[in-house]
Amino acid sequence: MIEMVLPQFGMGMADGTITIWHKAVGDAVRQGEPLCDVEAAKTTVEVGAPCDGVLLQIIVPSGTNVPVNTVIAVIGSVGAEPLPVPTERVRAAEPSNPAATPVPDPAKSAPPAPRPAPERPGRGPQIEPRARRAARERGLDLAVIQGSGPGGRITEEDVLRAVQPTAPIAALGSATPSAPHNAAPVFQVLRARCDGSSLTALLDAVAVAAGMRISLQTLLVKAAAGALCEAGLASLPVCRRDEDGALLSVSEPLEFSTSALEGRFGPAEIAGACLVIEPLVDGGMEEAARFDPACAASLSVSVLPAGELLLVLVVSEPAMPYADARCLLGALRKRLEQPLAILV
Amino acid sequence: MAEKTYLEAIRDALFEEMGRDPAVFIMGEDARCNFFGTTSGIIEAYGLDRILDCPIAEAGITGVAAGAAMVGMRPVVDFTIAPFLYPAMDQICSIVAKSRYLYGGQAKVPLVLRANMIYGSGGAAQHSDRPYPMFMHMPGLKIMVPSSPYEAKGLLKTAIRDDDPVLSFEDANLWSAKSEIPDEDYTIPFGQAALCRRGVDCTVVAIGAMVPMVLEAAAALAAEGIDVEVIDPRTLAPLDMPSILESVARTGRLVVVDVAWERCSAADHIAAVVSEEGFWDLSAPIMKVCTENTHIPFNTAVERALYPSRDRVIAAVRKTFA
Repeated sequence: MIEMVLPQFGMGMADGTITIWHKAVGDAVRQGEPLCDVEAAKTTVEVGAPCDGVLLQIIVPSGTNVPVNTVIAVIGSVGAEPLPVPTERVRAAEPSNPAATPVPDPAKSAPPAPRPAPERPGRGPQIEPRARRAARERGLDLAVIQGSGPGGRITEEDVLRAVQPTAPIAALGSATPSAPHNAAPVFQVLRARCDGSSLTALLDAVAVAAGMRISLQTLLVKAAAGALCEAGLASLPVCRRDEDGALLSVSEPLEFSTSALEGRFGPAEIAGACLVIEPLVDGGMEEAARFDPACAASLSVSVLPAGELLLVLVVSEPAMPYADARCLLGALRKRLEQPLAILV
Repeated sequence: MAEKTYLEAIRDALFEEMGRDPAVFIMGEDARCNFFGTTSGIIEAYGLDRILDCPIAEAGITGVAAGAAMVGMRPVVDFTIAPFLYPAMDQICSIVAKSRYLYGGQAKVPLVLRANMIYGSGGAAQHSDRPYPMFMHMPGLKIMVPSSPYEAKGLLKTAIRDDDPVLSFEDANLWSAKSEIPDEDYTIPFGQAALCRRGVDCTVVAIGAMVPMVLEAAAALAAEGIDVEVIDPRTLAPLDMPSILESVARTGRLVVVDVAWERCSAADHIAAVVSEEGFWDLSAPIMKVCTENTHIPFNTAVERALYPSRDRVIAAVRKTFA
């Protein structure tokens, strides 16, 4: 199931109005097929379906203006149950400030909302030369990258954000590495609660003893790296996403003490699947989850009342099968409840 | 430091270089009567032998200057206005540009041809030309396009001291522009662009008098969140492409503003080089803002609409984000 959000066509765009839905609930949709028209800054852009499937739910009706990244529709595979209509949600950690900058160049300022690109029947989205180079240097297939530029143009930023889905598992037999990856990603959501009191106590003790505060997110990165090893997934890199949506990582997180990790994060240059530690869920929200086909797994952690932690792990197959996700979540939970294991 | 106008800065360069090197002399039509104010005080200081009036015979003037240069003098020829170069094309292209090469270095042609570009004021079809791209095409010629009094003085001194022929295209719309000029002697090297404004979103190359207009456009664009980088190449031959390419590698976008006619303009050449050598750095097609490919009419309202303007530059930069 994919939650389709209102895309951001230009860095100056803060919201948009859906002017028309081209499909109705229950209709089949194909990736790239026009799904709705969005008007922003006096220009109207046709938005294509992000994947093949069935339109399960129209969450934001036409004529409504919503902020960028609001979930506007849900697309699922045939036979999936429609979701109950959720309250308006904005994906955590997306830039809401029009002047904020995406990965990777923090110095760029905001250009105006773009005009739609010309019609290109049968030719696919435009791809800027910088994007082609970035894809070539990283061995990425442009066909699987979603373009966020005008008219769906693929930009360099899109390539740097995207990762190549791992090849279909050979044991299945039917898929070969050269088969086109057209199928909609399948997501699994795993939720677990754990007792966070030991973790809080440890962080407080470290603050007193070392005179510095280690952030929970940094500790999560270390815990996640250890948990991945335990689950037999040591080759999967770990990133964290900061409040502005930028992906940050540090190579070999297990090599460093947690306090040393704090200063070592830099822009992530991940050319493949990874585990993303999302920003802590707060602001009165109990729970959040991110469905991103570009990540193998996304971990959102909320701190609930009474010191409980809620872990929501969203994994995308085939990058991370359900069995692996279960092991990972279990190993993570163990480390958070007995945090001395993180330090080992 | 003193504030000087473009014309005063040119005059100072001529005056100072004549004092520095006795081989430097001025020749041209109406040179002695100081038609444009660029030779004030020269007769009094250096005498009539160092500043020669010439008849209306541009080819002859050029040939005499070329000959004088080849035997060791350093003439600075005042061509009055740019279209007057046309009658001298054979001398410029066949003799001035090629003699050093043809004689295997045994002769050199250290002359400067100065041509004013007057346009936008009803000069009409024959007297509003901006022909520097034609001379970019010819090997053996150096070309300077000063954008301010500071640039004009520094570049003209370099031109006079250069052992190769230099064409100086001076934009009359800058004549009353002012800059702070250092008291001490200074030169500006050829082939080194100036970074007029640092930016991150789009590179704008501005030629000659386009520089101040583009800086105004940059200020307006900054107010809407677009931060442009402005580069003044200063010389079109030699041309500092590495600086332009380095800038485009950072910004990914290029607009070239050139008051010459668009077809085969300096902008065309710069765009072609960046298309080839900087292709993978681009996020958008390269835009050019030039003069429409047509004759210049006498009616100034119609005329001025044909040239680049601040609004056209702003539109071109915005287009690179479309």
